Amino acid sequence: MTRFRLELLQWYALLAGPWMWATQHVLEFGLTNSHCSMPVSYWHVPVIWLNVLITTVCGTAVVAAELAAFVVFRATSDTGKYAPGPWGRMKFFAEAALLGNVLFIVIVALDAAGAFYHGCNQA
Amino acid sequence: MTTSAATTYDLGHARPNGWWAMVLFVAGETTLFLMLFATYFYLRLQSRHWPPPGVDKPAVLVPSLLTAALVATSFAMQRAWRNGRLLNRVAALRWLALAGIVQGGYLIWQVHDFVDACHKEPPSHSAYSSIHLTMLAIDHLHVFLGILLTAWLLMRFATRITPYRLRTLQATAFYWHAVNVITVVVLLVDLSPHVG
Amino acid sequence: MAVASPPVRRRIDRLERIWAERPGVLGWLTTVDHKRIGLLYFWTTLVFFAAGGAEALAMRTQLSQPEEKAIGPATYDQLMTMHGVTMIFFFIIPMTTGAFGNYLVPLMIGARDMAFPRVNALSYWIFLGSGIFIYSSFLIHSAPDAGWFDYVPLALKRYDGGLNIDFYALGLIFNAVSSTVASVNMIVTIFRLRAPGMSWNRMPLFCFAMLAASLSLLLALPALVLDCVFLELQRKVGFHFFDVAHGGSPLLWQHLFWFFGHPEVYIIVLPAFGIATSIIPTFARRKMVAFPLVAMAELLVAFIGFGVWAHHMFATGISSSVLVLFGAASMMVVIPSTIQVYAWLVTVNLGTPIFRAPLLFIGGFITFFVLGGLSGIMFAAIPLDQATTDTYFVVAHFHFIIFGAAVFPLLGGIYYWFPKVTGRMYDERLAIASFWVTFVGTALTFFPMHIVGLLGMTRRVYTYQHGLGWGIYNLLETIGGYILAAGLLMIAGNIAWSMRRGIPSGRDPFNGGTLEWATSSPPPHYNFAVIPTVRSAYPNWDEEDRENDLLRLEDDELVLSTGHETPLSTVNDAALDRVAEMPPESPWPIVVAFAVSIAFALVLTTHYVAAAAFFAAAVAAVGAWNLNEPEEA
Repeated sequence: MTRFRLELLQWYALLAGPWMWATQHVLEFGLTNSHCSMPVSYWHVPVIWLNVLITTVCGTAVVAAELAAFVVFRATSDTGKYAPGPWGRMKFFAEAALLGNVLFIVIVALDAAGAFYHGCNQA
Repeated sequence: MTTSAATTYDLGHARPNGWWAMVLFVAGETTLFLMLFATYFYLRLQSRHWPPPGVDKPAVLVPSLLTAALVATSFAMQRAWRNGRLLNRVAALRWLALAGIVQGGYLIWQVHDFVDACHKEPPSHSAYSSIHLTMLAIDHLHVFLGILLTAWLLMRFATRITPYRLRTLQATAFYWHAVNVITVVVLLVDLSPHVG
Repeated sequence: MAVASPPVRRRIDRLERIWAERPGVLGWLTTVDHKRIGLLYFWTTLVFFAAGGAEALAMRTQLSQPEEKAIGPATYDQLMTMHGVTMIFFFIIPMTTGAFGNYLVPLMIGARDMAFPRVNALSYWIFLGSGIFIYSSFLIHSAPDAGWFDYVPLALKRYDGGLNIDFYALGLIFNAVSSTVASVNMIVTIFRLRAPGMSWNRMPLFCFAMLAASLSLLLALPALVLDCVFLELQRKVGFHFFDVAHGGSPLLWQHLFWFFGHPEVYIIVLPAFGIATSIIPTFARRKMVAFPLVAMAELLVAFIGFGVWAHHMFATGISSSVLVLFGAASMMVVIPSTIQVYAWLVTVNLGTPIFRAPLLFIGGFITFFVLGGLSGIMFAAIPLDQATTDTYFVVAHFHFIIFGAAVFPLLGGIYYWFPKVTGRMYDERLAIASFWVTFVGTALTFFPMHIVGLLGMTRRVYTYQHGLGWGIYNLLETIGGYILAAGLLMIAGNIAWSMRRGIPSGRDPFNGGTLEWATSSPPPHYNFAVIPTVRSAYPNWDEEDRENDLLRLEDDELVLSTGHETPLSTVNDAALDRVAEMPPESPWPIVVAFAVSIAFALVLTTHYVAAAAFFAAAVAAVGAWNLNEPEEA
């Protein structure tokens, strides 16, 4: 794999997870608010289907980010911990992304659970 | 390195510090606008009728044409930067002046319409007019700030180009691209009552 | 250096001349040197800390006995509000980012100053102006009095018609200007001024923490500023954002406030993490375990922290699906912090620790952070949160975190870097004694709050009745508060005495791993005679590279002694990009800050035209400042 492609994979691995979760979180917050808001209840927001769509797209992107992190990690396995950039930097970010994306996969799943529980009652 | 000997300045390979500072400032302002949009839609969800009964929906044609004109100044700012980078001071100055005139004209027209809107539907009447007018006012303030930057550049480029002034132009061009994108989104949010 | 050759001596003399600071008061007023600005922030924030502490002791005295009449309810409300506002906006943030960040980050990354030295000075003078602005409210008995979170509708004109809330809203907008420009400066410095070779994988963890805190500040503050703008528009001009009758919502205030407020708590604690990750490797005498994971955890906690704000609103009656969404995210935000705690503990365990005062304070920090974190994760469980909302259980949690987990590392950091800043050692025995007194005081002040909160004592009350069983706990807390104050006074006394009488420390008394220990104590104005070689995240432990620096000084490689210069490098891999001219001292930052301060005062007193004139004057001053361009080819 060329260095350019590896760089692209590294940045995707590092940045996709957080931003996909953020997108899912904001959209589902808006979705649940619209669904549960009395004045606009006539909109009949299809909470379940939209939640499935959002979670599928965002979740897939985060899983892909984890795979990308793994690819970069393998490609830089011979690189020293404090090697100079770009190889040392790519290895560093790949290791960080391997951890981070696991976390984001779990948060995306938990957020989806929260949105699937579309109860509008006050707790 | 004098202008007669060089065809361009060496600004380094990486983006300058001033450009990064502008990107970060714009990131903060983008968050401000995202909060404004979130407030708009949050308040919208509290109301069955939006705008409230008796209040007209915002006009579509004139604001859209004005916004298109403002967005076009991104092209002028980018041309100004390109010419500046090639040390074509006069050409850069012309593009800056064109951008400044359109930006100024946009703001004057918008302020006139804004004052009109405040008289027709004062912000003290409803949450709709409060958020609608606040959102527009904050956008106009950012356009005003951009005009100040354009005016400053016109003043500095009137005498000579230096690497410092080039970096200022680069950062200002970025600012205008960002403000123009934000203004388009403000327009779309403002016109959202026309949808559904 | 034992013996410097004549060319080296000449280069160093040139550096001394070029970077010399103007003497006297005028020098301090016009300084743009990051170290001087860091010290200005340090001493100013200590004054605010003392003020916030005095407010706390006054409240604790009032609450020590049931139905105590030392302080009336109106005064108590002002003290309570100003205690929170002071500690958060005028102590913790400026101390961590302004004092520690400003002083240490350029040294740690091998730079000669921050990216924008004049903006750095501006951020300090605006911070000072905002502090004076908000504290002047006490002079007219109109200090903010609706809590540091200032909920509506209590904060609306109908219920709080005086200037109290206007001081709050305008004061925080004013203060936000300082924090915003400081954040931009810090981020660009970290991006662009790292020594050539310091790619991301070689950057100190303290700098990762400051980067995370600065990014959070930059992106969280707009929500608070907007909220305060909405509040002032409603109070002064009659807009409708927060009143239901005209289509507004009081919860809008809370959403915007906590969108800022939750990242704020990470902004408070992240620099503390950074201090811990500096002190632990030094005193454990080994590199931090899982370095990439700790760096990522610092950024992750800041990022995830933006998505959990509504857990401060679990008891507001919002729909249960929203509650579950935020409860889930709130449980996950714990994980990056836990990763860091494990990394710290494993590093100490695998190393050969020496328990000097700085490490003791970090031990105290970890203790309080874990305990406070345990009560925090309990709040992610919605039923428990709803049962304990607005009780002293919450007060206990956030004081364990804010005092125990944010202030303890600061105190450890003060001792740790005291030799670097002053060139003298503190008294170790007094420092250890001050740790134990502070630790006991903190535990005694804040632990009983858990119990009295579970017994039902509500927060934000100025007194309570006899016979509720709360008296003994409150008395213990008050005694603890005075013990804590004694501990802090011991620290202050140690610092004050050691500044004059401490034994010379030498360059590196603790054998620290980061670059600030590679230069003299205190550092010269130009920080480093030669920009250091960097080939790992602990460059001061790379002896070969430090010897190589001496050879490069002989060869005039990156000495940069012909001007007021520092190298700029590329963002990702820190390859040398070009050499930048840095500005000398300037009067414009203080002039701009003065004009802005007057403008805010005029807005407060509704003299809007005059305020606009002073804002215009500030803009003109910024223009004048930019007329002074760097000399470049």
